[in-house]
Amino acid sequence: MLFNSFSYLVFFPLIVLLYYVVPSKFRWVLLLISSYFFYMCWSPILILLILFSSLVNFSLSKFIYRDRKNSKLYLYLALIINFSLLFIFKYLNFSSEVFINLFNIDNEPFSIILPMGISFYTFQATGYTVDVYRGKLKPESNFFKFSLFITYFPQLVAGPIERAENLLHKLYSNKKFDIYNIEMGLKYMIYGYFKKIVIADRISVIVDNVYNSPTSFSGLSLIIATVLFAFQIYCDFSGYTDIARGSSKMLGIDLIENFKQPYFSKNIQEFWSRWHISLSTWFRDYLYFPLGGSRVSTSRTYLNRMIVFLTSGIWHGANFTFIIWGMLHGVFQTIGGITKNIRFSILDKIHLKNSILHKFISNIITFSLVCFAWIFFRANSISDAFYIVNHSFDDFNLFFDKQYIFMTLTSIHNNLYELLISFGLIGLLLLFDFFAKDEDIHIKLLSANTVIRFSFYYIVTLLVLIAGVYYGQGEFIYFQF
Amino acid sequence: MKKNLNFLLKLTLMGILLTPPLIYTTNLYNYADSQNKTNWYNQKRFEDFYALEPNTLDIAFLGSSHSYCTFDPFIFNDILNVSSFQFGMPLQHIDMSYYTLLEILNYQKPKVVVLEIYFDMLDDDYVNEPVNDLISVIQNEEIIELINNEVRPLNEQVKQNINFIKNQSSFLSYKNKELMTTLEDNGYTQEEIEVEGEEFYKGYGYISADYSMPLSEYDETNQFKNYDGKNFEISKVQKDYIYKISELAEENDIQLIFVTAPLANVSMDYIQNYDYIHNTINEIAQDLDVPYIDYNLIDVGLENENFRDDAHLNDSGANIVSTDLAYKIKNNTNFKGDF
Repeated sequence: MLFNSFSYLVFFPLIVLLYYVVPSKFRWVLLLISSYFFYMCWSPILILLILFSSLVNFSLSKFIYRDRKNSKLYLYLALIINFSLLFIFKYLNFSSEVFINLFNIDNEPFSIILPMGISFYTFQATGYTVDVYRGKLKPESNFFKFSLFITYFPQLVAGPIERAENLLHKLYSNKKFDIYNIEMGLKYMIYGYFKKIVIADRISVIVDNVYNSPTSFSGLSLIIATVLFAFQIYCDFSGYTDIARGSSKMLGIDLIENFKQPYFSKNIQEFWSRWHISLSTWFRDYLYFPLGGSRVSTSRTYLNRMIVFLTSGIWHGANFTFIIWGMLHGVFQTIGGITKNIRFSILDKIHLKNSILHKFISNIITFSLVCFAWIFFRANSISDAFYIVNHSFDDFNLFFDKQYIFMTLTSIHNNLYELLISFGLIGLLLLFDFFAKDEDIHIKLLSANTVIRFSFYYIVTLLVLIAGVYYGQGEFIYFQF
Repeated sequence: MKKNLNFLLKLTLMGILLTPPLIYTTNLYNYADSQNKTNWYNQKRFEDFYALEPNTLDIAFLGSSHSYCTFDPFIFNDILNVSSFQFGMPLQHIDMSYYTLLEILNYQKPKVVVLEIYFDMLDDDYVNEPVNDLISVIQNEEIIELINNEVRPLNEQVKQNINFIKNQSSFLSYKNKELMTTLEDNGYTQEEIEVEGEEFYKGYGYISADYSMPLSEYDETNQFKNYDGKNFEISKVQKDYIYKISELAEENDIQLIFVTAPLANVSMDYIQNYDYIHNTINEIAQDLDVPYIDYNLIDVGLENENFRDDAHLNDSGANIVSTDLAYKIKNNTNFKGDF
């Protein structure tokens, strides 16, 4: 069941209604049943995999807690099972293909279906088990309550990846009906729909058109499509997160923030503190810190970062394109770290350090680097990605020629009017993000003038109604991970 | 309590203030929709069909653009001395072929139905355009109702009743036409692929084209460039409709033939796993005991020059394939009907 489907618009209000009608001690049961139902709408059989994963982590966490002497053994066992499941369902197809090609074996590669959300719920369950091992958490004694933590429908298929200490108790604590939660939840949801169906789904057609056949397009087309993809994936994923957080908020359960205006970052490190925050912090806490983090030698710190980004790339998908994407971010951060002192001393000498110009240029450079890496993330193959990199500046001398621009725009989309509207909508989104600065826009608006607040939600709702893409809208990009 | 009332008040105010722009937008979108013409070929095809004498039709061709670019009724009429008609429409999926056949059977009793099966359309559960296209040209209200109820998923049915959703794409097309006219008046020119020749409605539903595939489609813009057929699958919906068509043909004593129209040779080079596609369709045909002719696997002497683009035949190609199929029908004594 997709958040942007008609069925969710029927399912969700019904759940909210029932949630506040049933006695509070049974609410978590309702959430559990509805979460199973939500997932089973996509695949009834694969709920068994989630149940198995839940059972493994639930049981082994208990053993870890009870038998401290052998706790490490149980932790390793949990990690092996979790990552084996992930490997089998996510990476076995790819690995077998690589193996077959490498050794020229006359065999068909595996073709195993990728269970929706497996990377998300595996990481959430792993985080829980590690937290129990670290003594940060007492294991949950009720399997079904734990199962709800893993399957909670608003964040089941694409996060945010929650920590047990933040979410578990909220799922079954006593919550009174509060109209504030309903109002805020609606606000998050409508803004999420605005990002997803007004912007992301409209742009996706253009991006797909170019990226599915990059050799047919001019240099400027490749650049425009890449920039558009940057906004497509941002609106798609942060839109999903907003709908997830809004849905959960209406049930009185706060989920963590996952995005903070990432394209206003001034360096790659800052970008990762604003983009997919729940995954970045997961990697920080469960991989980067155990590797030594930055409390080791400088070269080891850079190596640790590279390992984290490489793993992040692999987490995203079983394809070399994602691995390169992750590595690029690692390389950008490493180079940024190595050159930081030199860059800052030069800027200091010319009195530009921390000036508006410095911030603006840093912002542009960071956005360009992020877009460069997105090429690998979006391209259908490594060869396509390299083609795009090599040909993006073809005919650069014509980039400012009006006729060339016109021909470029009409080649990437057969409806120029719609394309221009898409640019306008991206401009509007940037304006909203700029207004929000480093805060959650909905929280920021609470302290804004009533007219501004009302106008914002009025415009957003109106655009969802009259400018949303209601035909052929796609799945959320991150569902594939 | 006060907080609750306050929220309800804000929600009501929002609803009231949203109403005028929604009404305005609905009118705007409706107007744009009224300015967009129904596909002229589709309209003409069905006008000609309704003008046929009842129960005079022998062969009906169903399918997508691949059908109306491949099977020329004039050739079939000539070789078999029959009356045939081309009902193919752009993007016509199997479900719409079924409802087209239902409408045909209200007026005609064809002896043979040639169902063109294009693999690239078999994976869709539902596509809006072909449904709207068929509804805009058929006269039978019962079938229209049937399509709306049986084919459109519930959410699509809801959308069809909300004009600012239903007509949004018409508005965008209408405004784009306006914008392009203004820009072209100001000297901007679009890159046009030059082809020598023309496309026109020849009659009996057939659309003739005497130009050849532009060179750019050999490689640069070939639509199959990134398609190897490895992940080909048939939607259950479309598969069920193949069975329903077979059932309908059986009930009406019609000889059903499945045909896959040829793709350009250069396109076939990209589809490395075509055998898998063919075998999947062939399994269905065997299960239904329906003859299946796949022109991508039969050498009838087609060259790239016999195609109007990377996937559709031009007149010369249609001539070759139509002649071949007509003789296959003529020579096959197992087929029902007396030719």
